Amino acid sequence: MRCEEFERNLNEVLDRRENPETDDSLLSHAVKCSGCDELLHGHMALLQSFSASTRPVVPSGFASQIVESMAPSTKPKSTVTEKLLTVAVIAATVLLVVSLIQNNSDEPAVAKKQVKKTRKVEPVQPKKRDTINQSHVAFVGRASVSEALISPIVFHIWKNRSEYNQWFSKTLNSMRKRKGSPKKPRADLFRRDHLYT
Amino acid sequence: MSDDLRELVRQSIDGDQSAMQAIVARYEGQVFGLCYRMLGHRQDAEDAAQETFVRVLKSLHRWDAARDFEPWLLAIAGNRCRTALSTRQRKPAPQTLVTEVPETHGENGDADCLAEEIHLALQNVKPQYRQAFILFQEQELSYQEIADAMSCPIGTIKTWVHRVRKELVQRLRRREVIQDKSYAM
Repeated sequence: MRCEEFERNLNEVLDRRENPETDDSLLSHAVKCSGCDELLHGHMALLQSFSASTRPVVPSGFASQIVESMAPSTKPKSTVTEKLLTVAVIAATVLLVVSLIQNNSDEPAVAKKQVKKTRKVEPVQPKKRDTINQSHVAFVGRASVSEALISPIVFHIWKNRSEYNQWFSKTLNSMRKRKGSPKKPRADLFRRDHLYT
Repeated sequence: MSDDLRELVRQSIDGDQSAMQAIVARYEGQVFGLCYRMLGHRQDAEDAAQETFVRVLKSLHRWDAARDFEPWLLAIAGNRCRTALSTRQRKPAPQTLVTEVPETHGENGDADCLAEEIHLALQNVKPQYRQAFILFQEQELSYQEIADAMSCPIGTIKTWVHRVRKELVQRLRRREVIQDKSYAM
């Protein structure tokens, strides 16, 4: 037997989880070749070390700790209706703001036109209240379908404002907690006491 | 796979915590052992084992019941360990308290010394090779199971295991840990 063949056969025996010392062909070569003898001896030592070594001890309560960490949270999940309502509120707010901005940007032009017109006919300056009334009429006159649609939503929010208040403050609080608080410390099992020894 | 394990898995999917605990208790030794050998550090091994079980319990519904549970579980553990090792490369590693083998040992002095040397030597082996070797040598999985778990051809796994064996023996010989005992005449 050649040395390469010895090594290949040795690996095959070890792959079958058999003891190489019981293989006559391997032993007969090992007694004649010191290199292969050392190799066989080394593999035997390795094998014995693995069979003798004990597995590292798992910390007590490991399983229960994991299952506890997997327990479902008591926090109720938001329903689909709530989510839809939130989206509707946001959309309504955005539409309102947009329409108000548009209205405000148009207002001076409308007022100027009105002033110019009134100056030609009547030199007296219009009262502030009148200007507001005129711009309001202009705003209502240009009220789009979307604005008409959002009004019931806004009415609904106004009616249930106390509930929305609570929900909003809760959401804010949870957001603050998520942002500000550090990561939840691990249980005793995962403390790194060794770092302080 | 045994029927009781199948039943435990089914109950765990339904949210039975005692079934989950039973699964963890059954495999914690194997998973922790693999993580410890892979990472060479007890605290890191605990973290990796915990992450493994959390991941496994959350994805039990995705496990193919036609296949063995153990290789699937150990494959996840191996992946967690390799992720931890790559994270460790980016961050400074925790200080290993015992870096050198102590001169004096207890009653099993030589055996302890050898085990420690092997443990240290394993840390210098490529993570993939190490995983294959531990799964074969310590966890006693078959080559086919390891190949399935690591998604590699069986021949590649064999080559890796042989390579690690050789490297370990060479290191033990270099360090003169192996006692002089000869088969030669």
